[in-house]
Amino acid sequence: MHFPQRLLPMAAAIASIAAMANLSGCGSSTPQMTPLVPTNTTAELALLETTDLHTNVRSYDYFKLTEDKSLGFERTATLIKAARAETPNSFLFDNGDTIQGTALADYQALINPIGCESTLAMYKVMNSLKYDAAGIGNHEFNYGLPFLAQVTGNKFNVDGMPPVADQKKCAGPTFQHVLANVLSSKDKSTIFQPYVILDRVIAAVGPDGKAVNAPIKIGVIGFTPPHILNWDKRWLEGKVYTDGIREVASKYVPEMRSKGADLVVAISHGGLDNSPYLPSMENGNYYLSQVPGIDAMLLGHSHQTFPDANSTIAQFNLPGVDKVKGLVNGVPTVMANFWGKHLGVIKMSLTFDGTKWVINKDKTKVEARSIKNADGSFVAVDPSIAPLVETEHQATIAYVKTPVGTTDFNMSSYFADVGDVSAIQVVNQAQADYVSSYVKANLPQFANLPVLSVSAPFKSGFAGGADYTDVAIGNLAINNAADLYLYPNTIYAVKVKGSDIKNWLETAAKRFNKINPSLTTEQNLVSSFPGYNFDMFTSSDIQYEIDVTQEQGSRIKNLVYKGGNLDMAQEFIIATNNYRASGGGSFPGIDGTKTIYASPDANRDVLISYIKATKALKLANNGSARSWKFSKVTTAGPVVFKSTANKLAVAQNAGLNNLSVLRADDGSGKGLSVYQIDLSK
Amino acid sequence: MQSAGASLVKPRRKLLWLAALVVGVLGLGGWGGWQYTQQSGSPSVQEIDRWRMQAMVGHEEHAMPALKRAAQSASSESRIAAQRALGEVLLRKPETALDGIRYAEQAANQGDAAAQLMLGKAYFDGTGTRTKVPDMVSARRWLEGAAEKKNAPAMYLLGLMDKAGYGGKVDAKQSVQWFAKAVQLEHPEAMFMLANAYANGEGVAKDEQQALRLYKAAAEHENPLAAQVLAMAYHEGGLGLQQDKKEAAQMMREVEHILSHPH
Repeated sequence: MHFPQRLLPMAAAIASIAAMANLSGCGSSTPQMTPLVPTNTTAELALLETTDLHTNVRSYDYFKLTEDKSLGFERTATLIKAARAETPNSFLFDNGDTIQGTALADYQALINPIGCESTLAMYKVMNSLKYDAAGIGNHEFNYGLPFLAQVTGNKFNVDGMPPVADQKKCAGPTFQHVLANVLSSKDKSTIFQPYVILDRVIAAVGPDGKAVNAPIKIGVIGFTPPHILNWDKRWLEGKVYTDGIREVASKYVPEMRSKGADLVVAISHGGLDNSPYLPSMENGNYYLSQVPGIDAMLLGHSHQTFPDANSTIAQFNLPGVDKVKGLVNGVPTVMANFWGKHLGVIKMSLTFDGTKWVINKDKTKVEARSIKNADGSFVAVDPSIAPLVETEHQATIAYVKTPVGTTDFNMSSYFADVGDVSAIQVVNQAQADYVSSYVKANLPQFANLPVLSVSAPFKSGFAGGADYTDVAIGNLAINNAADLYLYPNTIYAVKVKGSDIKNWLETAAKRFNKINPSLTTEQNLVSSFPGYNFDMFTSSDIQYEIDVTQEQGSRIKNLVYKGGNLDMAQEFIIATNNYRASGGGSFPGIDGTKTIYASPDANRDVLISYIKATKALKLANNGSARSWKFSKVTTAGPVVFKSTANKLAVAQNAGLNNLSVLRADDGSGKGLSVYQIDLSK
Repeated sequence: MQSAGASLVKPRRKLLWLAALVVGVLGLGGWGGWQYTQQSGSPSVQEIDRWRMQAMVGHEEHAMPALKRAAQSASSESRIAAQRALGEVLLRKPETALDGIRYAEQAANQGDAAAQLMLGKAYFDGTGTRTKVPDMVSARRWLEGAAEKKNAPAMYLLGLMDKAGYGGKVDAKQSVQWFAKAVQLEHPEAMFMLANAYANGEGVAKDEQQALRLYKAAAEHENPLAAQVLAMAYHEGGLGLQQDKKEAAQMMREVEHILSHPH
């Protein structure tokens, strides 16, 4: 807003004093008096966006406990400071999906939840960069509403939380969050403020060419995908509901304008979709761009980069989307990838026309700047970031290394192809235990079905002798669980018949070549069928043989369940992962249609919980239950396979006494030996 | 916010009922208003979608009467949208599933592909049958109807039926054809299944390049399985890719992210 003409001299005098106190421009609080802006004053400003940071503060991988230069806010910060040097009138916004995604995030939310008086590590570093406002992504809801209220410094009037008057105001970030399309079922109002109007003073150039300070009001509104209600049903059901972003924007944008917003910036955690508009659509921003009065869109959620002239992504090749200039139906739009890999920059040129700021649209420039340089190197870290979170960073590393239990046996996959289950059985036990409990509690119609579990040796030497699971006797830490369960899969339960189990095992048995017993030459036992698809049971309840002299599809023999031949019509529940249950590996009939429970929980976390509950893993209980063996056959020549050199003792400890070392060095230079297996024993 | 009363001229009894409903809905403030199309006085499909969203999260008491009323709309677009929405809401619970089937059939019989898909799925998994035993004949009939109207999920499910022989014989070639049709409509799961078919030579000549192309396309659509296949292929140098541990690790973190909000 500007002052009416007649107040000019007085206002100008006071304003210049007010402006003196606000030389830095952005980041300052509301000035007491607003300076006059002469007609034809011009200014350059930039809107900066981070999105989907997912608590990647450091360039660090907490599972591998090593640096990862390709991501991390400590490098994005370098880009932010460079952009500010380039355009002093810069305003910095975060799109959301900020407080979840690394072990650091879990540590502060679940393992050692931060107190009311503390600020999240992620917000600490964002505070230091003086963000102006932020949106809320879907992942902000992952830890529940009370946690979200606490860490953002808000109070929510929702069911399941104490009355607002009884809620403590906790230390949130120094910037404000906005979210317009999530409402409380209790009072039907938005749980966050829907928008904020930032009063700022920017450095401008007067019509006489002299530098002046000028006020501007920047309205910022936020949106998140309505799908949060499915994704975080357990936290949100009955407590909040969502509304369509077009409806909500149509309501609030005129309100923001009437309150004097010179610019309206929409922070929307989503991408673009031009299928017919529905309020429930996940990526409704194609239509958001068509709501009159929105000057810029800062997008996210899709983990993509926009603008990008070379993008082949469907959403950036829609009619009305200019992937070179960064326009969606003419509205400047940016999406800054994820994990701090990019910074979104929308530069605008403004002219004050005597009553309002007008954007010189042909001068708008939109970019997504990468932390990766053209030569493949990465920009340097901003050295001010790491010290701010050193305590939290070290605590997270300590947590990842914390023992969750012990093992009295070496858990390895060196000989999983020939029967050692030391790295597999505990995974199956954890999965079966988890699924049994879930079915009993939530799926009474299936409670009478037996629950079994399959898993596979995920690391099976493809990349050489070091590419095996190997967890030593002693303490088991969180990062050991990542070695035992390599993939980030989630646990699924499928309902199958005995015939499906037979087919499942036949497919897994493709792991082996067909062996001709009469051949006197050397035959390789293991085929190119991947080890991670060699699913196996490890339970005394189910027993079978693999006859490698037979064709694929006819190798499973003497398949026995609890002492009797497996009934092909009997129904079972099998615990596995989302990959297998949904069709990964092309197992017949295991194609997503038999899934009875798609858990949001990771197999790896289920394993960690199981180890915590069991405390001490023992070979007899957790590492030696073989469900299968090879059908006995005498071969004229040697049957061989490769594994890491010098590990025969491991096999012997696992009770495999039919192995010998044929050649200590397989000649590949990868630290592998050729082992011989005597299939007659 | 527009009031419904002004644009609707109805018999007295209906007016009273409606007035009560309007008071109920308007009393909720944030629920938003009633948006009526100009010609027919029928609620818009967007408004019906909002009621559907409310019903799906347990606010049936407000949304269900509105949806049931909308299912009688003069506008066929609104009527079908409301019938389909009621089908979806009611099919979620076993005790109301048969009512859901009735509404879905009303929409499906007017040619609505989404309702036909809904029925196909409900018969396929048995949620829509009295005995809860799958009825593959009805499933196939509804899915084929939806597929004729270019409904990609129906094509995908038909592909799965032919692949595994649900309710009939295994027909790998026909399965591949269904997947290929769905892929033309950018269906990510079908991209993954067709990629598998090319990778393994199932129902189609083995072709790793095609498989890789399709896995990449599916991964771009956030299909977690395809992203995982690519992660493993980068790890091992499979599918004709150069071994690249960094790319493998990044891709696996991407899998992790996708799985944190399944589609």
